[in-house]
Amino acid sequence: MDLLQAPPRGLFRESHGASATRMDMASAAGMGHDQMKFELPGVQHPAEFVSQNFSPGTYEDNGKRLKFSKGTTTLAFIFKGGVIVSVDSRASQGSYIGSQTVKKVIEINPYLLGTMAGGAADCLFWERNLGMQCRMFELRNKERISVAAASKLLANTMNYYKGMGLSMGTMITGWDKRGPQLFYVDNDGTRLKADGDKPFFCVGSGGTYAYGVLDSSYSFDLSDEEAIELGKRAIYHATYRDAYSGGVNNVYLVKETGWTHVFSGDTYHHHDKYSAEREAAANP
Amino acid sequence: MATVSQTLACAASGADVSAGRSAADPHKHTTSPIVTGTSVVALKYKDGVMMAADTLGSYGSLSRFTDLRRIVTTGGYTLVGADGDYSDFQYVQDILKELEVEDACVADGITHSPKEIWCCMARILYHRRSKMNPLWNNLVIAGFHEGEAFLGTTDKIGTSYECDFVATGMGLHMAMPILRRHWKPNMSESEARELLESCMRTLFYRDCRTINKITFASATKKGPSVDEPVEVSTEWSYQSFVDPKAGSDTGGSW
Amino acid sequence: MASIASSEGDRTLDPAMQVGGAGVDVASSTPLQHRFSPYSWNGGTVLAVAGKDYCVVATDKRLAEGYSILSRKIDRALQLTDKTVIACGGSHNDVEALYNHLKLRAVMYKYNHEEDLSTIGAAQLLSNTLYYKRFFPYYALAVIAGLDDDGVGYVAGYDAVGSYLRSRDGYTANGSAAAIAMPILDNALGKVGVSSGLDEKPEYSIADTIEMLKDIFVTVGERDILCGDAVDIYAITATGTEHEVFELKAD
Repeated sequence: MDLLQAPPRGLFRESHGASATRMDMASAAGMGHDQMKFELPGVQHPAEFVSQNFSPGTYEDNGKRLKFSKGTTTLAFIFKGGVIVSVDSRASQGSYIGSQTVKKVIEINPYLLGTMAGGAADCLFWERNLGMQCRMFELRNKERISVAAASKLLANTMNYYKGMGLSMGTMITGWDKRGPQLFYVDNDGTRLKADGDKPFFCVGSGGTYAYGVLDSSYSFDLSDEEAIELGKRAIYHATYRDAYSGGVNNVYLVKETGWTHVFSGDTYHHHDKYSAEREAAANP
Repeated sequence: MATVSQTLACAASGADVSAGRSAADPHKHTTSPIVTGTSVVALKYKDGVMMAADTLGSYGSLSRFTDLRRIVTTGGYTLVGADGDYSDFQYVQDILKELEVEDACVADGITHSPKEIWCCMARILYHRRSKMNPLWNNLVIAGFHEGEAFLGTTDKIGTSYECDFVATGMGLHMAMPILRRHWKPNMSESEARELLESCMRTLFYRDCRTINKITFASATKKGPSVDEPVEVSTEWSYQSFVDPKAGSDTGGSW
Repeated sequence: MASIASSEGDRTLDPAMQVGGAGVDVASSTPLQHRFSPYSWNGGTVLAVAGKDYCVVATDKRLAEGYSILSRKIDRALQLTDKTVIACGGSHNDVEALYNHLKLRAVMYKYNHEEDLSTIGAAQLLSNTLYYKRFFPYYALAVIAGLDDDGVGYVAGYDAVGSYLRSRDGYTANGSAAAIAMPILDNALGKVGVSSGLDEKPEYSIADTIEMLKDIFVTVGERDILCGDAVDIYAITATGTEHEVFELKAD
């Protein structure tokens, strides 16, 4: 009998090592979630365990040593020329600014954009996963996935992990057979379509300030230039009032031909411009 | 690999040998130790490694067992010392025995080196902490293999590192300063023994979970060996022991 | 099969996700407060700077717990391939477990593809590895440093669950003293924002970069109790990786 080939006996039936291929993106990456294997802590309420040890502190330094990157202003709106997506670039970990150069618009494919608010890792991972699912759809069906279907895939994922402590508020936008499309998806599994007379969303801690600007200045009939300008202005005002937002403003424009990255600039320079405008308005 | 991941992610199937308890029941996890041992102190010296621990098994503040051996030999080269929960250490001994049996069955004359045992222990303790069912011990693994002394340690969550000298538990606070002050490379056997005795004496004076009945052990080219317990000499005539208040306004402390 | 209570009531997750599972009826057992924490905070500061054709990563060698120093000479960096180094602060047990896993994956990759894992590939692998522990994270605050496919310095920082970003200006800090070290790096090397007023990133030689990192560690060691003893410095160039140890104060 070849003892070296014999299976481990006794106490060693139980493996003490880490497994390798379980975490293999290629094999696990969800054609469906049946294949995803996330290890859970051996406590009764895993979500509570994670939030107690690792919770992102959005509005306060809640004394947890391990903070996930968080904090944001993102917005998107539909207008006659397509969709504008405008975001800031700050990632805060508690009161510490982890990065001022985060790319919060995730380029899922040439026709689909996702925005990032909430846990940075959650957004990054699941929108990358979404990109893969969208590509699988294309290969199977010989046509691009609709924005509605893509956002639904993400919403399904969020629903599957509901209550597990994922944190993300995202907008999925793009152009498909039905024209410019915009959906909001969050970690509760909520999925909303932007339509009616105010087809826009603002997401993140600075979102309320951005809503103020959009509500007062939005019109469907804006020209491309005016729309880009509105996107910039809304983000500027959000970064001015919300400490958790700031850094660089990135603006994307979605057209029938796909998206383009139309602007990237430091909000510091916005300040000079908009305060000069304010001065001029006050002293005509 | 799928099965490996399942065993890792799932609790141990069947009974958990450590105390005849089921890992399925969260109430039975060692979330606090019962019968405990205190500090283990060890250091490298010219001929190998030397280790010391007392023989007290505390049951809370009760001195329950007075002849527990907390240093054992395993394989042909290695000493393992433990503080913390004694029943968990007995489970560790079961595993070590199992390793010895495996080595014997293969019968190629090769047995695990001290470093391999240290690494194995660290993985086991890390694995148990990952199941939220820790083995409540600090382990000190010492040995002498292929002309090289080895000394390493791991705690109950699997934090492991190698070192020239080490003290666990209360010893981390009271023996480590002594070791840092007096340890030097290539100490003679008598110097090493004297330094360990000095550590154990200080711990006996100030750690109230200690008794003066101490096992010394060493691993050299002759192999590992654990001596019968001995008493270390004590000196109670220091002024601060005789008259704790003398010359001090700190209530008899330092 | 065990069920896990959520805000939406009980539901069943797949069996491989059950830890401590073997048939626990969560609903009927009373809540148990574990005083046991599987994590520790062992300090560890990592700094990395990328140049046009090189990359330098530096990390201290102190293993601390509470106010005690457990070791003054541990390795916090992992040389994954000839041109990729990973270094982490955080809970050292998790860091070691993560390294063991990554080492295995790098070897598997090499045998399957007959070439080394690229730095960019390693960066994505590290992100996924961390994220697959999203619900029981590795407490590892990682930095990856190396050369990208064009031979240009690559530096990225991570949070504990795998959010990562290649540094645009080629430097990053993570771990215990990151919040102290980062503004120093911003001032010396950054052109984002207004902190430095630089229009162009200054291009330092590899020797100057190493000197700068040594200086920063000396400074940081005076202000962070978890940082000290010595620094491992890895200088990565196309010809390979050079390692040196730089002594710090042991106080």
